[in-house]
Amino acid sequence: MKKFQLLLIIIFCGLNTLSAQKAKYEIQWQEEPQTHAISEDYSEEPAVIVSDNRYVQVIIEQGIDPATLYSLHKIIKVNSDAGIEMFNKLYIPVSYGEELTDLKVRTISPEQKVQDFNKDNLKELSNVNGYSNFSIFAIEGIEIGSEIEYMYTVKQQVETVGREIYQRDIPVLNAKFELYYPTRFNFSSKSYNGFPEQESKTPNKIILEAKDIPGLSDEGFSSYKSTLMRVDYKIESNPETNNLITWNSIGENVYNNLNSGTGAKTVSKFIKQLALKKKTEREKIILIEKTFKDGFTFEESSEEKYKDVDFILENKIGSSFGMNRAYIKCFNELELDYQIVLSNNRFLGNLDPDYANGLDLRDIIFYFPKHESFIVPDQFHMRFGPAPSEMEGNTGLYIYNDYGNGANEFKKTKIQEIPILSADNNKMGIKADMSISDEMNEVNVKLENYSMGHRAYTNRFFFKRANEEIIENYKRSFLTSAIEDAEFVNYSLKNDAVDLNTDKNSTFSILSEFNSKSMIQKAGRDLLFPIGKVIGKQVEMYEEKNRVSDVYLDQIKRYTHTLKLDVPKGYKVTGLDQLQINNVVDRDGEVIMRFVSDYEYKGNELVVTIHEDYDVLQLDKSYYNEYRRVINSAADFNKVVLVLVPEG
Amino acid sequence: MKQLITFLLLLCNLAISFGQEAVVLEKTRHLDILLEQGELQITEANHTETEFLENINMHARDVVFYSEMDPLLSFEAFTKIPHKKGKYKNAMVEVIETKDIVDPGIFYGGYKKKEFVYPSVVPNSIGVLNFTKENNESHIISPFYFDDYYQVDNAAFSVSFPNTVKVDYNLFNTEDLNLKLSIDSTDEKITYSWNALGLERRTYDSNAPSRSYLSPHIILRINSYQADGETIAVSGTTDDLFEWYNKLINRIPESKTMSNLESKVAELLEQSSNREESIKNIYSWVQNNVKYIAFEDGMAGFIPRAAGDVFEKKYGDCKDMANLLTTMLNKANIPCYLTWVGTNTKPYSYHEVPCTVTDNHMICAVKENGQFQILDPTNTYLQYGTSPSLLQGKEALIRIDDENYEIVKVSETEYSKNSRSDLLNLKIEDNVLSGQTESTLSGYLAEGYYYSKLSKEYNKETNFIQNYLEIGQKSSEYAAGKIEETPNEIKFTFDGAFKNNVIQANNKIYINLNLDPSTREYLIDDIETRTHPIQENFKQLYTYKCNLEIPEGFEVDYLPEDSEINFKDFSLSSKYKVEGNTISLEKTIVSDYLFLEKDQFKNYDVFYDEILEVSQQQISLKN
Repeated sequence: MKKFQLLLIIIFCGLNTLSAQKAKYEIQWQEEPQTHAISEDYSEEPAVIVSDNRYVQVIIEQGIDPATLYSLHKIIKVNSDAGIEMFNKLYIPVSYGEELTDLKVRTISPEQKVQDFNKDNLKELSNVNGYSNFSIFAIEGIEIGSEIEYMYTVKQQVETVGREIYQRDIPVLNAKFELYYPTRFNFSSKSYNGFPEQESKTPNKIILEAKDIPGLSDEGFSSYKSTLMRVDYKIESNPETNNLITWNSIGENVYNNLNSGTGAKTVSKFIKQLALKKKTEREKIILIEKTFKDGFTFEESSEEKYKDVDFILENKIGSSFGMNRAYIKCFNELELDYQIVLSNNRFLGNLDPDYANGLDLRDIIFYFPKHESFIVPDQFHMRFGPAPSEMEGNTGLYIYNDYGNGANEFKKTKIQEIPILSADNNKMGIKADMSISDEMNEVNVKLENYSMGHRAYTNRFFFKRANEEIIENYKRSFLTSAIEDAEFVNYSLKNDAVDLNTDKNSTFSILSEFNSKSMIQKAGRDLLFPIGKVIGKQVEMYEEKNRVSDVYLDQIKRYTHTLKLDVPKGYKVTGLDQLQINNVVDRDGEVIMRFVSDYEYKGNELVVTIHEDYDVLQLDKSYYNEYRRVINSAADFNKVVLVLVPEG
Repeated sequence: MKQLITFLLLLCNLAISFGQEAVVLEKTRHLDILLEQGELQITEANHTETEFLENINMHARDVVFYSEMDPLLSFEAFTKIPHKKGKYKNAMVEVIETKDIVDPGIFYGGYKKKEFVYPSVVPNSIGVLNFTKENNESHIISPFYFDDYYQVDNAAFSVSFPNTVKVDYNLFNTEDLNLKLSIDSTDEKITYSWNALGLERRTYDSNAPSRSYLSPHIILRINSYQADGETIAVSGTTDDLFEWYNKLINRIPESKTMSNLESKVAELLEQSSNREESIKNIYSWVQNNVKYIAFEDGMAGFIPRAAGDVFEKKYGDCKDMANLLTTMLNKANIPCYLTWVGTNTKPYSYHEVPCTVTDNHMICAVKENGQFQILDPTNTYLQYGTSPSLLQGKEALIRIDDENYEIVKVSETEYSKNSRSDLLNLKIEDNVLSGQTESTLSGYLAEGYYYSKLSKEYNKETNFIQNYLEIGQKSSEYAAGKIEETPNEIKFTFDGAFKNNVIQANNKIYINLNLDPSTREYLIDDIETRTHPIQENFKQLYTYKCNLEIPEGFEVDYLPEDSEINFKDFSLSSKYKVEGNTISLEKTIVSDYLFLEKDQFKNYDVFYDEILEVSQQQISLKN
């Protein structure tokens, strides 16, 4: 469910008096264009957007199909070869039934020579990846220091909700958004991340202008797209109805859409074949999910048949929208109490409770309140249990039905947070027992790599499909990522059935044993023992940066590692203080993350314990350096080398 | 660790990465060549049957590719669903989606695909696919690969043709297949068939050469045919191929305007004082000012666009850029020749396989002192006089004029010309190794630097010098970084503070002077299990010298042993030395191969183990 075409019906029920509409905006296409002088501050940028003007006009007139005219007019100055590579190819999405008009493209050289684009070089691509058609072309005559200017208009189906993102990785000097609509309607807009708001209310149009938008690059560990300056807009009213788009209206629409269509008979036959009668409600849900995920092919496509439940059940193929319908029909058939939950990947965005639109509702999952569990229809490794980690903590639109009252009808919506799998159920780590050979030239490691929660879910699904080659690769890349010469003597899995993904208390383990010569080195009579390598390579974030965006963490989780070394007779371990790392970060008196390692050295046994915990999903950017410190503690531990010196 | 999860899931979604979850029972192609009124007509009929065994919904998708050059004539697909007692019931594919292909490397290619999913698949169902394509150009016939992503039980290729047509063929990597040719001949037509049984699924190794080096396949060529009592040659010899290529070159359209091109040539000549400088100036102007954008489209994929037009547009694909450079040099009275060549993904020789399959690139050549020099304007940073790395050792077909051509081998560049050398002068300060560091790159390594720099600017990467050189661990700090660029040499200097390399224990200090990235650089992590050779883009030399000032009050306690390993294709030497109050480590690594065959893997393992061992060596100092 990537896009909602759900608002048309409510909007057009109010059309009666129509008056002629003319194009309300005019694009300034200079007859004799000149390049722009750009401030020295931007000379290091590969390119600068001199202006980015976008125009949207909603046209609803008598005698013609309602449409939206969408125009874009951009001027880009390129400063380097990288800038040329960024902008010398253009892709204009033109969906089915849309029309590209008024395309003009030119380049203005530093010597002010203008070169117009030859339209013969325009190519059409249809159905690219099943989503859209594109008009594509390469821009002619660009050199360093020249400007690229282009404008075009696409005549689209009428759009009543939209989003325009202006900020990007390079600066935008001038940005303009103009929205025009017929008098009988009212539209609103909301600006985000510092994009200017409309200063004063004007009828029939919204005009926003911004200057000097700084470039913002994706800094990683962030929700990049949602932090960019943008404007969202939508219709508010038609002559009959105010407040057209609310969370409730969106919810009702989605509900009705998913509940519509064929399937009544085939679903009851399908359910019958599953022989669910003697099963508990939980078992029923689990079996339906398993049947779909093990045997049905999900095809990301807009093909109508893939949305048709009769077709889906017969052919075992469906699009995600179609599969959602199939799930719902099965739940209805079994009279289960469930809620449809719409939300988004946290790293892509989150809905704004105060400004209802469907633009941040990219994903659908199902919630079963009685079981406090979700079904995630389009993730094969996830089974009845928690929400996917990338949705955890994000805001969800929960859609309730009236099933409890016997009627399969939309009841209400509620905005709620998607619950987060607790750290106690999202644990992982290693247990390593290490001993050194009598010849003092090899270390034997018995390793248990255990995980619960999200890591376990992924691992089980991965190992279900992995063949020998892939397992070999996994051992090298993940089990012993810092020990290049590990020779495995044993390897097995424990609790690896994918069905166990429905049990959040189950622990998945990879048990292995290997020998390594590089884990011990002689330096004269001393032995160097790089103990840190056993925890594997770690993420490193050493680079000092002036962080601009907030930090997004992937999960709330807890690593606990226990490393035991059987110290060879006649040696004592030195350099132990390196094993004591204590980096704790708190916020308002509460520990939000930590890396704490310590050791106990008794007799000939050295036991090292490491706790690395992350208890938040999101952090203010001011915590970035502390976050780095914790992350880097693990990387620092990975580099610890102990020295074993002969006693006496 | 997010990366890990994403990576694993990504892997899970790739049907091809996994093992015996499906098997191809039958894979056949038949080429039907007819001669109708003196014209060749070629159709290609394909048939595959795939049995789905496990994780069936990961394998039920399939796709057929085609283009204007080989349009689809018919298409049918269905699932055979196991029914009763070894019988099947058929379910037709109802939904077939036609899509244009957007390939990351090709801006516009005109390629299309039909995508579909086999319906109602249960374990042991069989997906059946039949499609026929027309071949519009008898010079271009796609090779047939006997193997596949899955194990193939039975693969067959056949061709039938009238006896007025002569065909040739080449077989590659079929030695172990027990491939049998059977010939069936009647008065009207001759049929050749090849049949292979029990082919293992394709496996994938890092840095392996392309499929055409590894997978069993056949290239069929039409040698010639008879029409109106004449023999018409197609792809029998290199003469035939050249004749056809030359015809295409003669179809290059007229430029709309040449005046700007001509005045640019005049301007560049004015800046040059001799012939070599003229070549260099014109070559680098095209390299720097015309951007490579691949714009293929049917036969336009073979005929360059007019030089004057490409000059104005300032972009083109390889053949457009080659033609522009050739035209500009010719305008400067420097004879330059259009040249066809296959990159290192192509294992073929023109003499053996005289057809379009052998090449995939167009460049140009000039003659200097009786020797051809290769110019590749799509390589922005390549120096005049250096062969493009991906063309080393490949045959180039050079068009001298309408009648004459030459086939020459592109020279290989020796390892010493592609070098990196690092020099570090360090002291111990607060338990950290600190000091001035200098790195120099030459040859293809310098060329590679320019591409990385472009991508750094494009992606707005920070910390470029550190990420590029990888001297020391990531915890190191680089200060006062400076880069000096000359076309063939890049010099980096910076003040480094290298953390995590000094251990203090009791009265000793242990120091690892191996701050170089060679353990990462030379790691081939699947060397013990891989089945395919390794292909490198160039040979190279690495030298590393690290000098450490012994801190006051300390003396050398222990120095690791020197190390020396020499194989034909790669070698390592590492030596420690003490002079005055300085300890120095000198390390040299030579990589002298473009291809590493399987029989060298054991040696490579020994070589790499030594690199690893050396990299972990610690010196110790005591007071």
